[in-house]
Amino acid sequence: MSIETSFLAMRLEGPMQSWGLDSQYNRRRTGLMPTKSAIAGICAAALGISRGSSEEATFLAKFQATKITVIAIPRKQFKERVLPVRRLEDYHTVQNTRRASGTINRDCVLTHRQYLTDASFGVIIEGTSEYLAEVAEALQDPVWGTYLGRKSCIPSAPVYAGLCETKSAALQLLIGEVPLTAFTRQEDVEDFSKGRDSLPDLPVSFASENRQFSPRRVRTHQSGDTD
Amino acid sequence: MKHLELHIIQSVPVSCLNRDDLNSPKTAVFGGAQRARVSSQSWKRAIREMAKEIAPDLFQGERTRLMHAPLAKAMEDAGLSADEASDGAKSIVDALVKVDAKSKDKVKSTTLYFLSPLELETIARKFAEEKDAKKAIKGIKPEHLSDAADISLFGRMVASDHSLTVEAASMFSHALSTHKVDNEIDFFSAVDDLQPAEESGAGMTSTLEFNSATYYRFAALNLDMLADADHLGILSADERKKVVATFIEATIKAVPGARKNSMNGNTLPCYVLGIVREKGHPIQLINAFESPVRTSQGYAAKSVELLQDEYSRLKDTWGLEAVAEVAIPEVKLHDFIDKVTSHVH
Repeated sequence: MSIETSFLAMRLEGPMQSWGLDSQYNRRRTGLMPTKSAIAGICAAALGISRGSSEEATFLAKFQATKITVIAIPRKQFKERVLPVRRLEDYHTVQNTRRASGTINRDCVLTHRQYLTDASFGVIIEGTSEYLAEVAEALQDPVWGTYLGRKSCIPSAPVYAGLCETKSAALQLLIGEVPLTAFTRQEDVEDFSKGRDSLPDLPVSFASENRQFSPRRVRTHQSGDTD
Repeated sequence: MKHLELHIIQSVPVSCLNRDDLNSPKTAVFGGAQRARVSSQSWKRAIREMAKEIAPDLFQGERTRLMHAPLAKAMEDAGLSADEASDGAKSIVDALVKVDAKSKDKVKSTTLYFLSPLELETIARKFAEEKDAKKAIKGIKPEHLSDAADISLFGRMVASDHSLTVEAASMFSHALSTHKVDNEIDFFSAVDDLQPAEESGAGMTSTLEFNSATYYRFAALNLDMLADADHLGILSADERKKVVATFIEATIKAVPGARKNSMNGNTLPCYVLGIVREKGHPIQLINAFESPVRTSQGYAAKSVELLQDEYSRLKDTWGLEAVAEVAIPEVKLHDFIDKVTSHVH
């Protein structure tokens, strides 16, 4: 029996987004692309899976086997002018941060939180049909909230775009007839020969007291790169 | 999830509702233009405070560093001696959020802790029986939140004991102006009343920054989550309706208190769209203002029109379905609340 593959398309659109790669300290930055852990988090929240539960372990084991493609979709304004994506830095106070030594700092600290503004992304998750069908259903009617990296970053369009049998059909939902090479995009790759960047954002556990991530190998193509 | 969305248009002239580390009103770029911004946490605090005034019986959660004194008092009431109670309360504060070693005059915790009176009483009673801080804290169950709807709505983060974390049932986005905003600088001088008449000049001069903006504000509430066992499942549907009614009223009316004496930004919204949907997730209508509003006739009326257009476009494009759509000023506040809360279960 062959295991069928599907392609789940997601749309991450909203005026403020924040995709943290290193948010333990008092500069909580955002990356320029959604992280795989954030996408896993959106799906797990939609399914109503608690942090650190055994369901989470099962879910993340399946999620780790997926391949994702993230596409930066430029926002256009009046007269087709492309809006530049910017980083916004918000000043905020926070408690219980982590020190570099790993211990909890219980004093109130000033933090700077970054957000992306005027950004929009398309995401395609490639995985087994059975697993993605379950995620797709949950995204359409999530148990918990759906937000773009931080709870205050509410989407401005439904996050679920569609579940397709082919990658080209999923792409069609996100970028229409425009070729993928016209966009800056980031893809999971299998080995070093296919991509040399690695990101520490493959979630192993979201448990509050024991968050774990493993590295993920990716390749980022700039818009215009054809291979 | 079954949820409620509030989309609010509100004009706030000459104010500095929320400022950054340089004392400038916060801003953000959206649609390529700078907007006035009020962070979600700033507006939420004003809403929490107002909710306490509207329904003091349901919103009794307190954020405090001073929980030692009430804890010790509750332990004495449960039969412990004054010394036992004071030491016991200290061990609990230490187990929850650590005692601040620098506090001299009275025992303080290192950070604020969000606690409901029922939780406090339960910990104190358990401690009196068990004489063990960890066991006493384990005695806190979701049903002890029945007098603290604020904790269920706005959430609680606890670093030391994750079992006490409560996920917020509400979601707020940062309020953004619907139009381009440049911060302005107010130069002011103050007169010295005791200055002799023959001397001229101001007693002091300084500047402060402000702006004027018509904001789009957005809040949502996960009604399923609010009614689950970890939140307010212990309440009756009628009590939960009252919680939601209070949430709506406070979200609509509350304004951050910053510079309320010098600038008074205390206005009321000119338009509120309330939506209840059985399925899906909250979606804000901010894209109505992606092209910043430009008009010679003021911003509010045009913003309302654009908001309504965006909502019908979203419904049409994505097939969104609502079980309730109500708008102020078409209906009055109390009818608005009645219509929306009739969908609370």
